[in-house]
Amino acid sequence: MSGCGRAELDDLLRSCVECALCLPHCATYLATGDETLSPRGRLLLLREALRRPDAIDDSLLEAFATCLGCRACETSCPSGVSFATLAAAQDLAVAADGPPGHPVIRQLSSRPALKALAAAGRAARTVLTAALGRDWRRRLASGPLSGPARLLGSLPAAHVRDSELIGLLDRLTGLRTPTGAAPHRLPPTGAEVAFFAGCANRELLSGAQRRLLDLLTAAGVDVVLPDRQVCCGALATHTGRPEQAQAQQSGNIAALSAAVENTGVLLVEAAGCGLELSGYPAPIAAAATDVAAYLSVLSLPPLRETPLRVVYHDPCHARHGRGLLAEPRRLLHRIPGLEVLEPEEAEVCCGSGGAYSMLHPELSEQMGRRKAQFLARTGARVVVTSNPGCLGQIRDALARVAPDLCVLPLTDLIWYAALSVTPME
Amino acid sequence: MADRPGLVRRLRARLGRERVLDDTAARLVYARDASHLRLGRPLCICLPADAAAVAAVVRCCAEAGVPYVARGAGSGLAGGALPPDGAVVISLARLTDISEAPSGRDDEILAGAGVTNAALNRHLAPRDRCFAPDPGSQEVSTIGGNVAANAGGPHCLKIGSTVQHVRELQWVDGEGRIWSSGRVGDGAPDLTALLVGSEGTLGVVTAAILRTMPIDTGQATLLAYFDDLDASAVAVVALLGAGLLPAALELVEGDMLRIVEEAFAFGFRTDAGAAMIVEFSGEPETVTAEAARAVALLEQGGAEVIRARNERERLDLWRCRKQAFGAVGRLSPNYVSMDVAVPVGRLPELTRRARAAGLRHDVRVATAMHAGDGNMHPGVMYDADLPGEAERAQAAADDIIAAALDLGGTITGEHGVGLEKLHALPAQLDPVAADLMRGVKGVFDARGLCNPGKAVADEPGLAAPPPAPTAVRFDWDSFTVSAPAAARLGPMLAEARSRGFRPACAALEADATLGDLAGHGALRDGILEVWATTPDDRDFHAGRPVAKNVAGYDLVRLVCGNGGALADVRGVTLQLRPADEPATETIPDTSPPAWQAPGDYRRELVALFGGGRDV
Repeated sequence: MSGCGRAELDDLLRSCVECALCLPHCATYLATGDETLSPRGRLLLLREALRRPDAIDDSLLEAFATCLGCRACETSCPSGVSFATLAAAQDLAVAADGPPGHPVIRQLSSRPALKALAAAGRAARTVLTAALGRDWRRRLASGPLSGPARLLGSLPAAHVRDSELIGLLDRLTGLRTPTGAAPHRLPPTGAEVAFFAGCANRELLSGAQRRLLDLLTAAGVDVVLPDRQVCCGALATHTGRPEQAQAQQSGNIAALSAAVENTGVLLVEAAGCGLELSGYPAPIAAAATDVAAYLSVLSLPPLRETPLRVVYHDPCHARHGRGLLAEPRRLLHRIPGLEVLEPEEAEVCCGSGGAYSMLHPELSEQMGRRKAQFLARTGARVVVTSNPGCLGQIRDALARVAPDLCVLPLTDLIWYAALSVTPME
Repeated sequence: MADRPGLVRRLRARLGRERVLDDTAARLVYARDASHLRLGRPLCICLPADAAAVAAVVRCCAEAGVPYVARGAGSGLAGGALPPDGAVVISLARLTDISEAPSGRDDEILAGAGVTNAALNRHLAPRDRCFAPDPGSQEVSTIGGNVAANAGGPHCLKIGSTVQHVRELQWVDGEGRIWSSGRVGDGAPDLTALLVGSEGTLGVVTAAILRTMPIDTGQATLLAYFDDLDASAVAVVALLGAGLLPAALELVEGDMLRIVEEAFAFGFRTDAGAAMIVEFSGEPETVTAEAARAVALLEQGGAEVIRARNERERLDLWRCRKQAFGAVGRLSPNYVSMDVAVPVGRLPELTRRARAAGLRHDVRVATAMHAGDGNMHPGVMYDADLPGEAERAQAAADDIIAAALDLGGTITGEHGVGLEKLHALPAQLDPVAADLMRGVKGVFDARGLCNPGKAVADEPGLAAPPPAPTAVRFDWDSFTVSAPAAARLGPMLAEARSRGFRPACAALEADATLGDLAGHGALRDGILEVWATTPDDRDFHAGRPVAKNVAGYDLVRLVCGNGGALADVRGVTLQLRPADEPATETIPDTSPPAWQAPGDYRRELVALFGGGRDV
């Protein structure tokens, strides 16, 4: 996983001067105040573990295993200590304990299981809302059902029906979108892109993905959806199953190569998939393009005045993993009338971390609460983000901390702003 | 004998199981800080969430006879927060509450010891105010750590170090009782100044009432490239001598500039011998005029000068300066991070001697400095894995410390003595001052358990005190004035004003003597050095003629402001400030203390100094 030899690792570790400037960017340190769960602490422990393998005990492994892999420490480090060091630490934890074995996790890259999960999630939320009211999540925050409630609450979801999304945003903006409104169609531009659907986006956020494809088509882009694409492998990587990740990569190379060769662009919605694909062999890595980055420079259908205060949450895999900081903001700033706010600790992870929220539920919940408090403090009406994991984690945390604030996929907001309010010709 | 297993059980009973860490990982991590020094492996680490819980931990330690060490974020560079073997670490990282000060004053804020400078300033920003000290580690450094080290930072030049920005402290004594340090300016011995800079060796500070300042509306930031460091140090003296007082005046040596550029690609020139960052702040019109004068002076000194065109460029300059030491890892795996300070006029000589020390011991020395304060940070680089390198680096560092002392400076301007500079402290202190410091430690920490073995040395002071001034003496290279206590302010004021300066003093009463002003606390913000006699007739000297000095306890402020209850002041050295700068706030302050006043400690201090007068 670390892809880093022992000598190289020693060199990387030596470049840490223990200045502590990484601490205030590390979500696990901020949530606990415990330096053992900070990047500097983990590097000290990794050095110790490499020097004296007999010193490794559960407490060291726990420190390694609780690293989110968000890479916020990497972008904050003045000495250029690479994340490869912490990845090596996580390898040690996995080597000692075996891959984390939460039964739900293994199903997360299985499409039928995800489809069933999405349906079950919707049904369960409907039932709970009917039985306990809209604040069911807060009511179930403690007690015997807190675990299942958290799983359910943090399951990524987007509006299935366009009308629900429009209703919500009309209420928040005071706009009145006519029934049947759709993005104004631009003539075909000749641009052609391949599209990587992503497991969670395709099955859990299918409504949002449909709207994104609608938006791209309206912009005159020809979208190719290659068959037989599978999970990008990020989940297997996160949970210490490199063979599975490798097999998935091979499958995707076979499925995507032709389309990528033809189009030169592989659009990716989820930040996590984007980072994983950027580690693929060259043609796919080079083509993997974040949707927000792509849209930020694309000729879009006219975007209407949308009076709304939003706050953007950066997925770590985009901000720290791929350096995508300006692109999503540039995209949001294209909507006239939209006020884009910045939260405190914008660079800090929300605590979702792929399977992390299931492996370390308490820690993840603490981080989510902290993130939600900062997002709410901006005074925004809507949080927008572009990763399914963040979406679920933040929605669950907001339900407990700031139930009036909602979270939406970034592309849903763009689609809404692109709706044409004049009758189509 | 200390009952250590029983202590962990009792601590868990008080704090809760998960708030007391004693696993291998935690004990390894909390044995270290940002200093590269090592001392011991702690028994356990406590993570209390409020002052009452801190007090409970201290009580448990006192009963068990086990030492304890308070810790903020572990970003200290002198080993001040390293635990001895078997000690209890009290992490204050969870004391993060910020609230309005009980006085209701809108220029004060109450912050927990674990609040970081950055978080506090984010909190204050919406009301256009700030907490001014800005150590390089401000993103992570905590208010408790700022107080412990009397932290400075680039912007101390105009606004002073932490001690000038603390109005009152909440602290826990060695018996686990919670006290106020008393309001600054209340006429009693200044325990606030004593606790600030005491490196957590006199008690555990749990909260601070801090002075906040308006954020300046105008700023002009200049970047000046020089061919070599010596030329830039000369330019510093020229700027200050012209009566300019920038908010910050920093130097970064060429090597440092190159590694930061490598790290962050700001677009700096990498062929320069040194870069100076000069920032003016205040009213926009004044700032523009001052910057124009500075540009002319710097260009006369041979510099190429660039002005930051916008806020982003300005912040990039500061990021460059503040990330410099973190980026040293790109040059060398280990380094001794030094912080000697000298009178500003001696800075060019100090840069020459520091370079010579590196050559003499065959180690690389790269320097950044708060030049306006005469506070220099040579980084002496080494690789601990190469035999003999660490020893050579330490030898070079010791030479640089000796040079600073020889030039009338201090071994530490802002990092603290900690563990690192204990061996060098006796050379700076006279025997009586060193004795008094050990006595102060005994008064506050009778059990000897509060961060033992730091900040004050067991050895006697070895320095021969400089003779007390017998007449008014200006140092126009270093912008200080020394005078006997009987000297009246009026004539000094007239002479200083004729050169565009004034002595730093809150009350500019021409008829008052310096002794009177010292007794009333009017010199608190600008006093650097004092000659005094205790009631039982011991003469001593404390402080140095430098703006920043954290070597040992602050006896200078301790003997001022209380009408001579602790000692009669015989002479002082004051900073000179530009004549047009407004005088600082007036003393006394009549707000009642927010917590119980520490009457017994004040009485014991009076006894320690050999007096019996009422306080």
